[in-house]
Amino acid sequence: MKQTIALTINGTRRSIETELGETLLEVLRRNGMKSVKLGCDTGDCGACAVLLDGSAVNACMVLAVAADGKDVDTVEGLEHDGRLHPMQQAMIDVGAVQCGFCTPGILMSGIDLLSRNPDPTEDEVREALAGNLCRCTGYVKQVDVILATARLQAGETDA
Amino acid sequence: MQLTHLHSYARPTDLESAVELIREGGRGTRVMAAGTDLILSGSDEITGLVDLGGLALSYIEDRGGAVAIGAMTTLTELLEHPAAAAYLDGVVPEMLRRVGSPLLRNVATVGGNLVRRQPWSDVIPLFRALGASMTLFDGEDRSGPIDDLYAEAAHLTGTILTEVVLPRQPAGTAAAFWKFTRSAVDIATLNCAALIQAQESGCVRARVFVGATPRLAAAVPSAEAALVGTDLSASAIAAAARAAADEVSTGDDLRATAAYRTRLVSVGVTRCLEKAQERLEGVTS
Amino acid sequence: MPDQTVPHFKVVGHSEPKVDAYALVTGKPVFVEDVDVDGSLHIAFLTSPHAHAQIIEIDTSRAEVLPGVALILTHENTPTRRYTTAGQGYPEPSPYDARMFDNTVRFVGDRVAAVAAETLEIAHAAVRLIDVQYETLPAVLSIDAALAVDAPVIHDEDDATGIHEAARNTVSVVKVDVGDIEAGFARSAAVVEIVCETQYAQHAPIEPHVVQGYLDNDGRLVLVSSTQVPFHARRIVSRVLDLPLYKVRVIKPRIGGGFGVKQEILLEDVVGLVTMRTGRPSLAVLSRPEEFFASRTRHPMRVRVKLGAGNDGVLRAVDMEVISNTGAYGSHALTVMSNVGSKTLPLYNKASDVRFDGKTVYTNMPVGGAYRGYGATQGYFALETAMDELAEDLAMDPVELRRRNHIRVGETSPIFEAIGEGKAGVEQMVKSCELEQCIDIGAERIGWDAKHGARRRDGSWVHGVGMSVHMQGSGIADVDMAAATIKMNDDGSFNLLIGATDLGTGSDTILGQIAAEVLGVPLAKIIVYSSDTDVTPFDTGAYASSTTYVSGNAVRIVAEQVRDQILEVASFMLDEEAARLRIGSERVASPMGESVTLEDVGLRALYATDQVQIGATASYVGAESPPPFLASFAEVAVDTETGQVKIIDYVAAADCGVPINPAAAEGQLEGAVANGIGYALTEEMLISDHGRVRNPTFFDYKIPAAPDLPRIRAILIDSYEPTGPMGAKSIAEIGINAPIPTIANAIYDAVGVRLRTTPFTPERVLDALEGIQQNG
Repeated sequence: MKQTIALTINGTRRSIETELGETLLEVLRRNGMKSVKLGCDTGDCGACAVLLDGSAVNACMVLAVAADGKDVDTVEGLEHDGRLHPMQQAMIDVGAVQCGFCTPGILMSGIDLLSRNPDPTEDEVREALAGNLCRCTGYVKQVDVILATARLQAGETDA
Repeated sequence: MQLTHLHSYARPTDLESAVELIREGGRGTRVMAAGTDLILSGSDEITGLVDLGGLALSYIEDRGGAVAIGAMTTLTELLEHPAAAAYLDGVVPEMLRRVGSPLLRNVATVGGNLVRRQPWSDVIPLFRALGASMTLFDGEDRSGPIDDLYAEAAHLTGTILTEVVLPRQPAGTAAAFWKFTRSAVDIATLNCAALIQAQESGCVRARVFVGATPRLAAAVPSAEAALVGTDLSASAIAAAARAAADEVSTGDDLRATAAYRTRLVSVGVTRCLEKAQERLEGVTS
Repeated sequence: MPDQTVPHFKVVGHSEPKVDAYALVTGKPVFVEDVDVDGSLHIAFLTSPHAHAQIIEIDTSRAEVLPGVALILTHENTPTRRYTTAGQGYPEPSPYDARMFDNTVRFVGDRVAAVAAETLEIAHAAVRLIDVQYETLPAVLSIDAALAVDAPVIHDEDDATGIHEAARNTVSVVKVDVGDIEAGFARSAAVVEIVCETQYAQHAPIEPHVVQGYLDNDGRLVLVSSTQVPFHARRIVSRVLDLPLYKVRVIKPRIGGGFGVKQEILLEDVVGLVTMRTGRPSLAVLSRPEEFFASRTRHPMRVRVKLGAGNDGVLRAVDMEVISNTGAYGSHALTVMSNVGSKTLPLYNKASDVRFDGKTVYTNMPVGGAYRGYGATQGYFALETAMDELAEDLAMDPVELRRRNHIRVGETSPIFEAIGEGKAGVEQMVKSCELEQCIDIGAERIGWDAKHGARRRDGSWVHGVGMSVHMQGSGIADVDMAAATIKMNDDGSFNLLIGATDLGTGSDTILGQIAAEVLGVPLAKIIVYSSDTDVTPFDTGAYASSTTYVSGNAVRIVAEQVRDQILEVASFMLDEEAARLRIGSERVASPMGESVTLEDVGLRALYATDQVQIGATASYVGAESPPPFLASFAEVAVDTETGQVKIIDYVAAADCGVPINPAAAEGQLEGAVANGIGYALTEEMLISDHGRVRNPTFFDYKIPAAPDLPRIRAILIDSYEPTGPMGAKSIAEIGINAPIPTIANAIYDAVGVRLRTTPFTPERVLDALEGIQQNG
C-alpha cells in the first residue's frame, strides 16, 4: 500500500511516495541520501543515524509514514556554500576516518550531542556515541573530533 | 521492507478516534508508539497500525512533587527533564542512562516500554518500585497502579496507556537502580530497583524488584520483609540480599546461566540497597 | 649493522589527510550499494537449517511461479566444480572442498539455494516457498568429536582435493622439529605447560558483503564487489563459472571494512551466474545474521604451549601444539594454523629446541577464514600467558623475562624458514627492531613498576597490570606480489594505478604519499585509483599485512622509474646530465640552480619534442617479511563480586618501521586493539547443540562501543626497515593479537586467577575466582 508523505530533507520540503511498511532508511536511500547506511537493520549499529526533528535516531527503526511532516537531516546537508561542517573538517584533519562507513552516523550523533551539551566531557562523548558501532578506529580519533568541534564552536560563540 | 503486509496506517489526533480505530482494526492491527519493536518483529501478521504520535501525549509535568509523564514522552525527554532530575536524587535518569543508546532513547517512549513488557525492561522495575500509577483510556479514563499491567490477567486490547505518574514520596524516602550488562549498550543480564522509606523507628517501607532474571521484573517480598523494621544496617541489607537470592528464580539464556544470575541477584540487591541507603543518609543528615 | 638513519621526508612520515576523506565525510555514494543499477535483480539465499544433511529432494516449483521471480539456483542447475572460497594466491593452499551449491550441507547456514527476483521482498518470499527434503546425518560439533575414532566423515566426496586426510576429518597437518625438544626441557630449570582455548568470533565489518553485477556493452561480466582481493575474485569466479578470465572484470570501490572476511569469495560467483543466466544486473548483500552464521569466522583453536628456561630466564625449549577448527570448509585451514607458529615462535629465538605440531580439523560448524591476526592471535594467547607463568616460576619480572628472550636486529630464527604458507618459509634476518624501546616506553606509560603486584583495591574492585610482546610479518615472503603503474599528466600531476585494495585502511593515501615523496610533489598531485582488474595492474590483495610493504615497494620502484624518465626529459631542457639533476618541490633543478617545473616537463613530453608518455609499471615480490613489533600493556580492574573486567588503561607501543602516515598507522593500531579487547572480553559466537549460531546480531553479539573502551594509547616507535619503502613495515594486524594475553595477565596480577578460555566473561572470571572447575 503506497502513501505520499511530506519530508523536509536537509531544509527542502519534498513529497515522497512510500510503501506503508517501509522504514525511513529505505525511503531516504531511495531518494538519494546514500550517506544513510544499512549496517544491521536492527537499530544496533547507528550507521543509518539521521536527525529527525533535530534528534539523532536510527532511520531503520522509524517507519517512514510515521515521519510524515517531520524534518530529516542527513550528512548530505552539512556542507554549506562549499564549506564543510566543522565536525566534517575535523574528521579529515584529525585522521578519524578509516573505512568511513560509520562516519555519517557518528557525525549525526556528534551533532546531536553538541546541540544538547556544547561542552561535553570525553566520557559524555563516548556515551553519546554508544549506539554508533565502528570496527576500524577504536573511537580514539572520533572522540577527539567531537571534542575539538565543541572547543571550536565555543570559541566562535565567545568571539 | 520490514512490514510487508501493512495496508493501513492511521495517526489519530484524539483518543476516542484512536480507540475506535483499534477496535475496528481487528486482529492485525497494532497500537504503535515509537514502533521500534513492531519494525523489528517484521511480522506478516501486522496489517494495520494506529500511531499514537498525534495524540499530544508527550509531556512531563511536576504536580506538587509527583511527576506526570505522557505515555508518548521519549526516554531522552524524560532523561533530560529537570523534574526527573529533582525526583528522588535523580534515580530515573540514573536508570534511563543505562537504557539502550541515545539513538534508541531518542525514539523509544515511556509508554511503549511499559506496555511492551519486555523481560529486560529497566523502566518497569524502577517504576514499579516507585509505586507509579497510570491512566488507561478505553473510552474513558481509568486509573490504577502500573502493577496492573503486569498482573497475570492483564488485558489491554482496545485500551491506550496515556499517562504515568510517579507519586510524590514521603520524607525519608530514597530509591536506587542497578543494572548488570555484558557491555555498555546491552539489555540487562540482571537488573534491580529498590525504594526504602525510613522513620525514626527504622525502615517502614521497602520495595525491591529484580528483573531480567531472564523473566520480567517482579517484586521480591522476602527481601522487602527482611528490611522493614530494621535500621537498614549492612547486616539488614545482607539479610535482604540473601532472601532475594533464595527467592528469585533465575534461568539460563545466552547472556548468563541461572547460577550466575543468582549470584548477581545477591550482588545487585545489595548494591542497590546500599546506594538507596546512602541517599537516605544524604537526606537525613 | 644495517643503516638505521631515517632520511628526512617531505610527504612520508606526515599525517596527510586521507585521499578519500572528503568523499567519505560528505556521504558521497562511494560504496557498492550506493550506486543504483537500473533493473537490478535482488538475490536472497536459502541456507541449511541442519548441521549435516543430504538433500534428498529440492522442489522449487512453488517459488518459480511467484510473480517477480527471475531465477532460482540450486545444486541441480549450477556448476559442480570444486573450489575454495579463500581468496589466496594461486594455487591456493586451501583445499578445493566447496561447491557453489552442493547436495550435502555441512553446517547450519550452508547454501542450499539462491533466488533472484525483482525485489528483495519477493526473493525472500520465494525462498520460503522452496521445499527441501533433507536426510540428516550425524553432525560433528567440536574438535574432540572431529578427532574421535569413527567420527562421521564430513568431506567424503571423491572430487575434493587438497585435504590431508578426509577420512579422519583432518584438513591439514604441519610438523616442525628444531633441535631436540626433550633434551631442551631436560636442560631447563623451570618448565611451564598450559592449554588455552579460543572461541568463534566474527569480523563484523559494518558494511556487510555486497556485490553488484552487470554485463557491460560487450557482454562481459562486471562485478562491483566489497572485496579485499579483486584479482583473486576474478580468477575464482572464472574457475567456478567456467568463464574465460578475460570475460570477467572486478571493480572494488570504497570498502566498509574487511578484517579478512572479505578475502573470501562468498557472493561473486552467485551474482555472476545470475547475471550471466538472466542477462540482467543483480545485487546480493548479506544480512547481518548471514554475516555471522554464513560468512566466515576466526578459527577457534586449542593451543598447548610448553616452555623451558634456565634460571637466567633464557628459553631453552618451546613446544607448541595446535588443533584448529575450520568448520565445514577448509578456508585458510592450513595457513592460519601455520601462522600460529610462524608468527609467534621466531619472537623467542633464544630457544634452541623448538617443536611445532599443528593440525586443522573439519567440524559441522561455522566456517573459519582469514581474520586479522591470522592464527597469531590464537598463538599469542597461549605463548604470552605461558611466558607470564614462567616469569612467576622464575621469580622474575615478566617485563625482564621478555627482554632476555626477544629477537633483536641481526638475529634470525630457524622458524622463518621452517614454516611458510603452503610451502617452505624464507630464511631472514631481522634488520629493524625497536622492541626493547617499545617495552621500556610502554612499561613507563602504564606505570608498571608501581602497579605490578600492587593489587590496589577499590571496594570490590581490584586493579592489576599485565603485558605481552608480539611480532607479525609484512606480507608473505616469496608469494605476495604487487604492481603499480604511474603515468604523468601535462600539468605535472600523476595518476597512480594500483591493484592494492584499500578497504578503509588508508592504503590509497600512504601509497600516494610514497609516490609523492619520490616524485617531489605534494600528495594532491597524485591521483590514486584502486582497484579494477581491467585498469589497474595486478596485486595479490589486502591481506597478510602486505600492502604498505609489498605494494609500497612496488610504488616506490615505479615512482623511481618515472622520476628517472622525468630527469631524462629535463636533462634535454636544462642541458645537464640527468644524473646531476634533482627533483623536488614540483621542479627539476640543476646543480647550477637552473630549473624547470614538472608542468614544463609534462608539456614538453606530451606535446613538444620527442613526444613520449612518461610512465611505467613496476612489480615487487617480498624476498622477506620483516616483522613489526609490539609491546602491549593494560591496567584492568576486576570486580571480585561479579567477575566483571574493566579496562582502565591500555598502552600499545609498536615498531612499524617508519610510519608513512602516523595518524593512519595509529588508527590501525587503535582499531586492532579495540577489536582485540572485544575478542578478549565480550565477543563470542554461541553455537547451539544443533550447530546453530544463537546470537547472530549486534543486539546479542557485542562488539565494543565507545563507552566500552578506554582511550587506547597507541605509541609508534620509529625504526628504519632497510628493505621497506621509506623504511616502513606493516602495522595492520599486530595490534589485535595483544589484548587477550595482556588482559589475561592483568587479571592474574589483580586477582590471581589464570583464564584459559576466551572470552573472559564475568561468569568465567567469577567461576575461576570461586575455583569452580570448568572446561569451556
